[in-house]
Amino acid sequence: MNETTIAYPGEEGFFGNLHWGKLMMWVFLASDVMGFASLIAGYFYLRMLSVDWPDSGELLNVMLTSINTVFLLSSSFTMAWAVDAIKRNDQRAMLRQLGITIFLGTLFLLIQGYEYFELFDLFSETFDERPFSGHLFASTFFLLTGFHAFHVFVGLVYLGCISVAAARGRYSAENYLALDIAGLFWHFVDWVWVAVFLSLYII
Amino acid sequence: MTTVTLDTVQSHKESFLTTYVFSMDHKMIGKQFLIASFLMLFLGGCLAMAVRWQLGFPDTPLPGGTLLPETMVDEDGFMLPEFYNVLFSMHASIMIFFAVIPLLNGWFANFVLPLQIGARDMASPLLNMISFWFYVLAGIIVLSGFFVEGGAAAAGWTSYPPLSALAGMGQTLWIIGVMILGFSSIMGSINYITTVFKLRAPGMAFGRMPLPVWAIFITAFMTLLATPVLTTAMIMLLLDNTLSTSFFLPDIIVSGELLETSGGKPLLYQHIFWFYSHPAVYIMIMPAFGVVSEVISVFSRKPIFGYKMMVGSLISIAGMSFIVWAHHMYQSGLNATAAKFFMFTTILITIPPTIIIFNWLATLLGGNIRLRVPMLHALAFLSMFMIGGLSGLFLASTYGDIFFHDTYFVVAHLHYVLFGGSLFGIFAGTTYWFPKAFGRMMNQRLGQIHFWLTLIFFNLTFFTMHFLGFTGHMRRIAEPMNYPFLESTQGLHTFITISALILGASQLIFAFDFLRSIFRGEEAPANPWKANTLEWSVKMPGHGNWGTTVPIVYHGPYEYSHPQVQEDFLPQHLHRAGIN
Repeated sequence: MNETTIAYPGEEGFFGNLHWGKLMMWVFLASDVMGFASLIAGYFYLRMLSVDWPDSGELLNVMLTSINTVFLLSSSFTMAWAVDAIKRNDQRAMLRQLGITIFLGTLFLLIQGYEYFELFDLFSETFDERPFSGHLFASTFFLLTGFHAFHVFVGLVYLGCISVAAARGRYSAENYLALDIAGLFWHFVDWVWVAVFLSLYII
Repeated sequence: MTTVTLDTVQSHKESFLTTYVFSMDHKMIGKQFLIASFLMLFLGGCLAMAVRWQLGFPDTPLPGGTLLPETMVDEDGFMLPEFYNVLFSMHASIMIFFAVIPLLNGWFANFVLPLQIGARDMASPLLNMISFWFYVLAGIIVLSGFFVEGGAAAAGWTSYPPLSALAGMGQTLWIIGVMILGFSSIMGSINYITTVFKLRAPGMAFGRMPLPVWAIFITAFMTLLATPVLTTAMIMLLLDNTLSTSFFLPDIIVSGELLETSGGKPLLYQHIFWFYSHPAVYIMIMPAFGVVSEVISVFSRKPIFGYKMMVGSLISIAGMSFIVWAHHMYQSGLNATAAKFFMFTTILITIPPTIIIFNWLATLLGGNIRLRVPMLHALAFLSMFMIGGLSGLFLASTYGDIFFHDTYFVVAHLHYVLFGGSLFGIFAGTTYWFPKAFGRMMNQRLGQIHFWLTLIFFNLTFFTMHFLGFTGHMRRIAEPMNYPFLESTQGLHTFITISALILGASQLIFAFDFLRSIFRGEEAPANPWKANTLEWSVKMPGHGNWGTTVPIVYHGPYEYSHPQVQEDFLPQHLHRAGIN
């Protein structure tokens, strides 16, 4: 064997102990942040210049979505526990926590879907039989929540693939990078919801 | 410290499909970007020729015009005004999104970046391949607009609503195509950033990175942070266009009838669009800065002057590029105080490029200058870009912009930076790395002829447009002679058109030379320009670049004419005591 030991500069200094795959996810998330930031900024621009913006507390189901928010944010903790479990090489705990994460994510989407159905009726009444395009309130609401729901959906598919690999015993205390990277994406999807929720429902 | 088992990194056998089509080798992907973008460049050039014909010879039918469908020309072969709108919109869209950006950020970035930092490939070759095919897909979608009802997009490359939001199928395809192209750019930039952070060869500290790498690296940050903003603008525009939402649409009356839209803000689109597109202006020039720095240093046989200042200037351009966007919107009813802020930042952002230009001049000073073809293009870049920068100052000032906004002065300015800047940079880099990419030399004599014709007729074409701007000539109008105050400009228009046709024709010399040299060019030596950077030390043509060895870097990339070295260059991977 022709083996050599070499010091690569990429292993020291900036992000020295960060694997390139994980760095790539961080870089991607920076990009995604800008996407959400742009939509939220656009939302506030339209809202502040509007003369007939409805009161979100009256039209939206704030209580239900607050509970839903708790579900989504708890899935962030279960994701972290899944990574923690595999660090201790506890396969069963990892699979259990992954399962709960996916369950909570799916629950979030289902509750949001239920809310969409209700809002379609409500917005039809309020906005001239055009639930999606009748008023910018409805358009921005569906755009922002839809953009986020798309991220949740992608995250669920991603976690689904990871779970299949996990169930086949692909991860161990030495090798859990893919799980870690997927977790990073999932945490982002969970916590960016806070910004979306605050902008649309609370402020 | 990493233990590398070198025996396992030899390249494996590839089939035709994985070598030439779905290749994951960064060199092949770079060449795919090169060929595809040159085709787009040719197409965009043809559209420009048609635009010029309409303006230069409005009384003569378009040559071959009778062959075109009746949605484009009337029965005598005269161009319809609607088709003129399609032509200038698609000319700009193709040139910006499908030629200049992919040539700089696809071809140079993919081909040069891993080679110059001594990496075996990009961090994720798979993502790299997907990025290229997204670019192809986006191109097909945008171009298919020519074949749908109503023709391709005709709302300018900026596609301002309400016009674009109310336009037909061609515009919808344009929006989808640009969105997909955005994904391609983001994937590329994620790869470049990660590759530079993690995959530099041993010894390749940040302070030893060649300037093209720095430029591409910094550009990737701009692409990464600006492109998703464009994507969101495109999502909203697409919804306005197809699902009749009104993000960008206020109450509009079309032919006496009030549309259903209400409450939207067209200005929001302009803000979001330019928040992307002003950084994009630098995305379209910054890799060329890197390329030209490399070429000027190599062909002056001198270290680049002010390496650290160069890097600092590039970083400050990238940072400031995010706070100048509204200087495109002075005439849109922007708040006057905000306009003053953007005027201030815009004038501030001219300082770092000036530092870069002075660094190039200082590099040339006292150098042992060799006027080979890449160097000629680099020198043209330097001078033409400077003219473009100076005319930009008139537009940056809110007072000057009142007069010059949306006139041919703007057209002249943007062509001086995009053609005189980016495209000369692309020619410089392409002729410089051609021997590395194809193993053969391009013809020096044909290159010289192409260069001089391009330089002369470029200036005759676009310098003249400044004068059209002085007359108050608006851009984007199909029949200027319908306006009495523009009747005197017909002579200038004809002159510009003749120059533009010769300019276009002289590009065929480059195309011929390029294609001929790929197959019949003179065999290139390993290091034809006697350059220092790592790419010239690669021997292996296939995947993996350095085969079973790892290049180790001992000093900076610009050690030319070092007094302790006998020859006038010292490659980065060769060790000399006392030089680091």
